[in-house]
Amino acid sequence: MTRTAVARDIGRRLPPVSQTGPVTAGPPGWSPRPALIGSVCVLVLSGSLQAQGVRISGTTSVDYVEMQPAVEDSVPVSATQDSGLLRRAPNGTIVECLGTDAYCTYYHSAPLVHAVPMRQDLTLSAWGFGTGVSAYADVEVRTAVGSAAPGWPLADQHFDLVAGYGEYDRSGLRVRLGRQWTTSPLGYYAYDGGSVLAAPLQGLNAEVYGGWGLAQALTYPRTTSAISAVEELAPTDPGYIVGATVDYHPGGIAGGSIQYQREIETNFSGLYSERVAGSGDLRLGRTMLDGQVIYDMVTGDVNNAQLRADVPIGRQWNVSAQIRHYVPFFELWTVWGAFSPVGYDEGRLTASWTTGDQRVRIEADGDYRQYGNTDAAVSFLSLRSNGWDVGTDASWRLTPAWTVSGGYHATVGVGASRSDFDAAVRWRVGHRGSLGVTGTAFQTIDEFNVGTGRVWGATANGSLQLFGDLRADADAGVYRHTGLDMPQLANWNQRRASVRLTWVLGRDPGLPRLAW
Amino acid sequence: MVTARAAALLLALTATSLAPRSGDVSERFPHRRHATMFPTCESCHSGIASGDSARMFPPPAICASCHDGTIAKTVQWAGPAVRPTNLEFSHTGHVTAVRRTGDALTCSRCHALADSGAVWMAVRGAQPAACLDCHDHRASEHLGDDNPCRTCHVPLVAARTLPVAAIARFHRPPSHELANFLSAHAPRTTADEMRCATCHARESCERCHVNAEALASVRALGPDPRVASIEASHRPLYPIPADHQPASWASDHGQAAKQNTQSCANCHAQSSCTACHTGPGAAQTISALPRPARGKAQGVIVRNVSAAGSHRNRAGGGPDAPPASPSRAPSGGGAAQLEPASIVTQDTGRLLDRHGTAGLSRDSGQRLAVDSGQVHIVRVHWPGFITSHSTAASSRQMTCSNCHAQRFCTECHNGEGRHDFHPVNFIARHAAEAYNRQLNCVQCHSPEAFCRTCHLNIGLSQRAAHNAAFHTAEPLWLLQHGQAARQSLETCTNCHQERDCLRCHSTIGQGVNPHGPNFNARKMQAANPQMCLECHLTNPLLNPGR
Repeated sequence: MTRTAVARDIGRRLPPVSQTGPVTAGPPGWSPRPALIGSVCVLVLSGSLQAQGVRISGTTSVDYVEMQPAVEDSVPVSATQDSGLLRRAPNGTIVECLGTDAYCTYYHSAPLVHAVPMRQDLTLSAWGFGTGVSAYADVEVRTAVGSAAPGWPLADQHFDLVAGYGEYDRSGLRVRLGRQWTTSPLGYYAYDGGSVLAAPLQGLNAEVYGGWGLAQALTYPRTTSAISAVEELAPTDPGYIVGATVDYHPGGIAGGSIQYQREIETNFSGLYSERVAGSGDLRLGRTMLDGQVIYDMVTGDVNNAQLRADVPIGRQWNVSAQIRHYVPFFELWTVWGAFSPVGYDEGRLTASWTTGDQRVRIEADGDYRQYGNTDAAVSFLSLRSNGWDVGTDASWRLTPAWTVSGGYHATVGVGASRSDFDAAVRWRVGHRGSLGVTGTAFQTIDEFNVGTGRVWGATANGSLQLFGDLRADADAGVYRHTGLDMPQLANWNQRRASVRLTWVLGRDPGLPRLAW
Repeated sequence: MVTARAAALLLALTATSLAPRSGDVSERFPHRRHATMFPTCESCHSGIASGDSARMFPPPAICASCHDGTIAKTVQWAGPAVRPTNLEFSHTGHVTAVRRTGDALTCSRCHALADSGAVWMAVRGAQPAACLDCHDHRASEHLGDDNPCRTCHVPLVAARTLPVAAIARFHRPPSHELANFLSAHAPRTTADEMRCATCHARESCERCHVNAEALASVRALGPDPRVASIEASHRPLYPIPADHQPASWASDHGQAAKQNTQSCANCHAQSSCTACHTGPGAAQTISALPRPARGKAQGVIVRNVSAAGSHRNRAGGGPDAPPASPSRAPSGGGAAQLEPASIVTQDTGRLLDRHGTAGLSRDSGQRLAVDSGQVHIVRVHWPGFITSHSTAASSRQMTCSNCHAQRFCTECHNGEGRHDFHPVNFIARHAAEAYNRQLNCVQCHSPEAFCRTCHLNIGLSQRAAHNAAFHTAEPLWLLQHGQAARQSLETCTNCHQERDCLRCHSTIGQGVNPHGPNFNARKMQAANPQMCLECHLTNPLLNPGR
């Protein structure tokens, strides 16, 4: 069934479908491609028995997260006060009353639920199969338990091949085959395919890459059930990705890069995206200038244009200024780009000061953004069209073992505003461990969903180097929501905790022991 | 009955006892007291000029001829013990050399007390200044620069009679007190090396130099256990060279390291580099540095510093602290906050075993506290780098792979949510930042699989709901949402799927036109015609309004 047919079918079925339970992705969206690539990796890595060396690192993590869902409820229209679209229920809650309904609706917090997501990450590097030949794999196995587990993002996608490729790397040439990532101003994209990187001159790199594209910020195809479970008009074609990058940095003074990338359906009937990006930097004495431009060749939008100057002043001051123009980018399998988003222009200023011995550091920053003309505002009902953010952070290393830090930030903008404060103390226990305590307090006022009150939190964290290549980290926090003036969504009385073990096995090809 | 001889002696003794003391504290024999008895130095030191060691000092019998208990009190005189010295001096040679020049060589020329004029027997041990009177030195003082120490001194390792205490009391030449001495003390010539060897043994250099075994000038020095025992209690000192001090050194040192790796090896072992350079880059340069070995100088210790409690996704952010384990959850736990990336360098002692004692002094139980050394903070990335590194990474302004393994990047960019990127309790805090989009959430999080899934499951959005009960702050949301959507459409997509909007904004639905005034339908259709047909029943360019 094509996406068009699905859309029309939706249009015919106008009455809303009520939510019938947690959103799940259904059976894991297995595509043969990651399995094939994984097999290639396994074959390559099985040769690690003959490899000169193998290094495996892993992180085992278990989290505990409490959440309070929101549920829709209703009261009879006759029980409400006032009149009009928004009224008050007997308990003071603002309810919405559509003219034709006998009931008025509102949201309130449901009983506390919890999730315990568990994850095992493994990274494997093997080298020495031959001159310049190596293999790399990065996999993740995950699951979740608890009352909120069924709906935890990606909890039912139990296996994730984050990366897996074989590499041939010689002076001036690098070839990779498998699942890999490309980094550019366009973003961080994963794909299953191949890449060739050449360095014909000192400081000059040229790379071409291509293969089956994966959804951005996911290592699954666009056709994954993780997307289709929450988007009925999900793409049915994974798409190809092709691109090229050229970057040139002859020395430490100036350089830049250009990238072109195109994502197209495998039947070549339509694009998902086609963009170019350029970035450059210039060092003038101690001042660094850098800029970036991203241009969407389909819509004609400049998704991002920014220019930043970073100026150290003396040995203790640093000032940074940035101007930026931003318009959001949407892939063409969605209709969002056709809704003409406008984005904003932004100016940002950051200053930092540190003592000569760098034991004390103070930073301050602020920015202001102005949204473009939307041509959709109703003059007597217009929303704010600008926003600003200010904040300060400070840290003080009292002794090599003790550090205190804190900060305050305020954000006022379209949609939501927030004021928050953090303070922390950390104690290094010898050079193998640390203990810390963090206190937080914040208030979020949502413009589109009014909610006041404050959330106070206290977290404790600790790290311990158990052995040379084994480290344990843990943290736990409790949060309390005060000043609830209305039974709003999301009562933030919650607890969180996590435990992580990070370890390394294998030989050391010049790489360090576990960083501490 | 007092004989004349005895009276004369008594008078002499009295006279000498009343005479001004020589003032030379090193005088072990009261020469001035005997000034009237011996007309020449050779009276007692007859073997000096001839080199007859048996006659260099008077035999006890000569002293006893007067000090017999009758003429004068008995004394114990057995001749001086061999003085520990690092001097190479021959009286015979000097006498011969001076006589050859035709000059008269008198003992007082070297042994007269300063300011004593021609007072007989006001003597002392020869001072270096006396040597300088004759020997052609470029410097004007004993410990001056370019002094050919070898003229008078044997290398320290050859001065086997010198005790440790005497070596420890060696005077420091003025050149060693200069501010830049640590950076500029390398010997350039053989003569320089010989000067060093006068006071130093190999262990003097091995205290600091990581590459001591590779330096010819260090190998030219001999080993000496006396020096080793002295150095064991000294902490190595590593100066911060002038070129290390600019803020850009953290990113500029790569080129310098490639061009002159052996210069780095004076102070840095491989471990200095691998504290940051965890990636494959720079491996060749790093491998040219020495590896730290037990009992040897470790060089400058470089540590990644992380401290809990400060924001990271703001101006002070920095990504280089060792990653806490990645978590897929949006930072829900009481996540540790990490300080901006700081690389702390410290002077340190010899390799510490797991108990913290120096390898060479384990028996003594001496502990060398690493943290008590000098600390110099080196910051690699500018403040706020964690949220502004896109250009640096993409333009290869910095070679990320030098210090970061790929895993480091995917921990964030795969939407796994490192515990140390967002502030604590970001689950509760993120609404404002999601709306404002200072950061592009899509770089790390899939709007559908991550954001929308969570919002749907927690009840903050609903499938196909068309009431605006969520947006209670805006009573006429139906009229206002157009402006909000155009300003922050990506936020809408975190809760709403496309069908929610198509109910109104499609020809299938209510037919409300969502396009802005600059919408280029032709261009969009050329790119992906299927997208148009999600809202339009037929080709809108052929059949407008349908």
